[in-house]
Amino acid sequence: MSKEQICRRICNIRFVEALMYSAALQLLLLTTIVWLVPLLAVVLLYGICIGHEYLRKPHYYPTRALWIYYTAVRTCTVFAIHVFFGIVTSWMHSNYANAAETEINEPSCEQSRYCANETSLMSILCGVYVSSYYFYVKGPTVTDFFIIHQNIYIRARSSLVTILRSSAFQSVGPLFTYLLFYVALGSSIKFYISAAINIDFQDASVFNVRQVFDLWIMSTHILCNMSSISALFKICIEKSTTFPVMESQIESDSVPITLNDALASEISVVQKLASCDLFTLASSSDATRRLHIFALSIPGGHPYSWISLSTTCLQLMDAYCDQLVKSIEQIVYINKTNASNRLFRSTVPIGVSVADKVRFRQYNQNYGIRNMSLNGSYSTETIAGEQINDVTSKIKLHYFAAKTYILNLPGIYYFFGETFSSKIDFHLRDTETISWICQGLSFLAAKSLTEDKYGVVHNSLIPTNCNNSVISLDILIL
Amino acid sequence: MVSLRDFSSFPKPGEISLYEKDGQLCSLPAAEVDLTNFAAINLSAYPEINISRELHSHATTSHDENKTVLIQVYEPLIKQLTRTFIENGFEAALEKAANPESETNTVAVSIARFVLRVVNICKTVQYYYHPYRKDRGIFSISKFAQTRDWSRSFIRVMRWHPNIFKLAVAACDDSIRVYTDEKSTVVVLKVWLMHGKWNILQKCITSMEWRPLSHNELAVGCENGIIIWNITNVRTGKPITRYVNLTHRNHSPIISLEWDKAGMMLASASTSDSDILIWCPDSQRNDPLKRVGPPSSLLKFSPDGERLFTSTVGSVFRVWNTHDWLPERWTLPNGTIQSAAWSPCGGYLLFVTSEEPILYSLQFIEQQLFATASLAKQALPIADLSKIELSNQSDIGGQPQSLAWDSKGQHLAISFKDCSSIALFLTSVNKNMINIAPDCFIVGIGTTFPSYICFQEPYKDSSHSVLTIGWSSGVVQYFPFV
Repeated sequence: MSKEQICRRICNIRFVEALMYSAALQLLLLTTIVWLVPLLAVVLLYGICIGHEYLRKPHYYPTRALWIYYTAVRTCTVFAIHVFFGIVTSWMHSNYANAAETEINEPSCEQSRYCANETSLMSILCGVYVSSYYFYVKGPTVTDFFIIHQNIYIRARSSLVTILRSSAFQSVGPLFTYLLFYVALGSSIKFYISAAINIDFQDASVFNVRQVFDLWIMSTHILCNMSSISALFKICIEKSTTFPVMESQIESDSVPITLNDALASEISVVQKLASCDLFTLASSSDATRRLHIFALSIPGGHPYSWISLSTTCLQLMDAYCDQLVKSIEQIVYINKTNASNRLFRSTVPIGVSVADKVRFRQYNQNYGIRNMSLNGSYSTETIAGEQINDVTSKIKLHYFAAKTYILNLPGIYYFFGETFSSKIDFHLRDTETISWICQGLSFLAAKSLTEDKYGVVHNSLIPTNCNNSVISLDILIL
Repeated sequence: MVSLRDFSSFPKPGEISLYEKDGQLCSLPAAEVDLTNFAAINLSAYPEINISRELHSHATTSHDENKTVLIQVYEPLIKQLTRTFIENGFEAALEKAANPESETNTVAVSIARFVLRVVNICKTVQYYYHPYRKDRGIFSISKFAQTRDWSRSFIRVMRWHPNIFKLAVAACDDSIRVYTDEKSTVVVLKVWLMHGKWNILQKCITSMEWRPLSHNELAVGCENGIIIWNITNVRTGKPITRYVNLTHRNHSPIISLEWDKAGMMLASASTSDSDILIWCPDSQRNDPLKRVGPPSSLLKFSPDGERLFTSTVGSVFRVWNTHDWLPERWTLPNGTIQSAAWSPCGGYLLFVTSEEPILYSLQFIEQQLFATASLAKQALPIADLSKIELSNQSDIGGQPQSLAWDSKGQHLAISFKDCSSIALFLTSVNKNMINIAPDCFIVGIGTTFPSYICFQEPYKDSSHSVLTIGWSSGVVQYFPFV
């Protein structure tokens, strides 16, 4: 099994664990056995969706158009799963409500057509609306790691209590906007559905307090359920992992991948877990694991652990610094271009300035006036050459003018324009990994003063590398 | 257990304690000392600080005092109520509506009185179960702050940088002055925000902490949350200051904050929130340490970063293990924790309570070899701080106000609530026990009393600790142990 597959396996085991907790949660959230099967199917789908999001490597898309082009299918799938989740939960709720109502009056239904309850329609539409709201506002994953590492059960309990409380308040807003929406468009929706699938609806009022209360409970359930599943996935994924520093020759229960391999992994979650572990081991008061890093290999007496670990860390830091520097250079280039564009867009009309130039040149030639400025560049260009230059600048001007005109059209810049600092924002969004690695290396270097008996760190320390990222960020701030 | 009676010498009237050399206290008559500067030997680099002199006008943060200078004008009731609601909240507006100054609609007054009665009944029930909620805002700060007479003190908080020569002093005008070894440069930190009118953001400073391993970041706990200052270019002339305001719902005023030893996490406690928040200031996120019960009042990270001590405004205090963030819960028979200090090794915690004049010690060193489950872990009293009567002057000792322990674990300073002296103890900590012996008393000039005490960590070549005392007169004294 390759190292990437092992990393993927580590994640998958955690996803399965999170799925099991999520399934158990459905029983806690008062779901009956009958409805457990469809709900579990939805939870499974939702879990796969979240897991996929965690495993995905973040990409930078310069424009919204590109983002839509590359992610439309995936986004639509995720959205569809959210909607499906909402539909199943609301269907379950509407069945509870229908079961409670023993007497059904059907004055508004025709004899020949199937008569459905409008309450069910309201519930299902509400489910779709609330789950769409959740998709739009929160999305399935949160990439920020927890600051402190608590026990999984304590973390889960604390998160679930918070979610339960906050969902009750958060559901109020979407519920009332939905009710407004239904009051305005409900009859049209009913009409189209009746026409499409040949059913009648038993009328129900939106202004029924019990109905509103039921919808609020259902909205809270949906929000709570989705948030809880996301939270459980986050908790399971971010469970602190102790990676072995050296490869063990003996089969053991520990993680089957070294810290160095995990740091070099393509999967960002595993890389983050490894960098967090590096920081923990470096800053811990227990020196046992650090001694493995400072140890010499047997046989050979080579500082293999430290060399490989520091090389991987420095490579990651250098790669990040390069990306950052490139982004900064891009900003500098854009600034320069804008500045030159501003020069072109002077208050004097272009035609007038060119005519003035020609007039001054003719005047100087007639009276034998030479350019005496020391800093001025002496041009040997002929008039024909200057004319060509003028043409080039004219073309440039027209190009910039056309580009500006097109980008200023409503919606064009929104979809096809790249924001000034979007690339640098993208790189700075996830600095946790690099900061942990940087801190971890720094702590290791500091601890090596007392713990590194063979001087392996002293011999190979490259002091400037840790400063690169700091310098890059300083440039950015200034 | 040592007591204040075991001290061999007591302060003489009219003398000021200046420094301690080889275990001998050096005092001089007040007439021979420069009253504005207590600087003693080898302290030429230390800045002369007299906050009362530096404040041109003593502007306290109490709104009521500011209002006395304003002339009252006629306002219609609706306008009055709106203003009161915006400035002081719903209850104050309700009280105003229930007791109008002029003739108004009696129906509205009756409704307001009825609602006010209902609110008062609810509050009575709430205070029965949560008595600590009676004290809010400034009152709760005054009660639990480490500064004596916090609301009227010139010096609210002082804090030395752990790695370099920098002293931050928070004054009663809500400003912070940062002093370095370059006496000509003093950076003043103050934040004004424009929300309709100019408001002070950094109001009612209760705690400050320099970020470890960073020379220019200062976290400040105040009424409006946490403010993290970044001060650069101090030495090149014009300093550049930037700040970040960290806020969280229901987590203000901040009563205590602490950085961990690596400077990656910042813990904060508020008197209105039972949760302790652990912040990552770089990403401006936080994780709560959730607990049901009374809010927290004091936080202390152990120097080795292995434990976090948190006390509440009730009788409960906890010591969290920072590996798995599981708490060890302790209860006091009565009162609350007044002040606490960790030993340099992180193996001992000394604390004093609000009800007893006793110094307690808690041991956290793993020595379970001969321990049995039947022996419950207990806090041991190690010093009796009860008031003693002196023949020639006022009493010494009593209810302790705050503790300060130097980073070498050699000197422990204790200030008192009703006494103008500071008691100094000699301490030594080893793996199995802690020894404490009486040393001397420090007294100030006349009726001044110590508002705030803290130790400067030894830095560079200086090997001695310096106790820094902020007196109620606004003067800062440096008391070195040479």
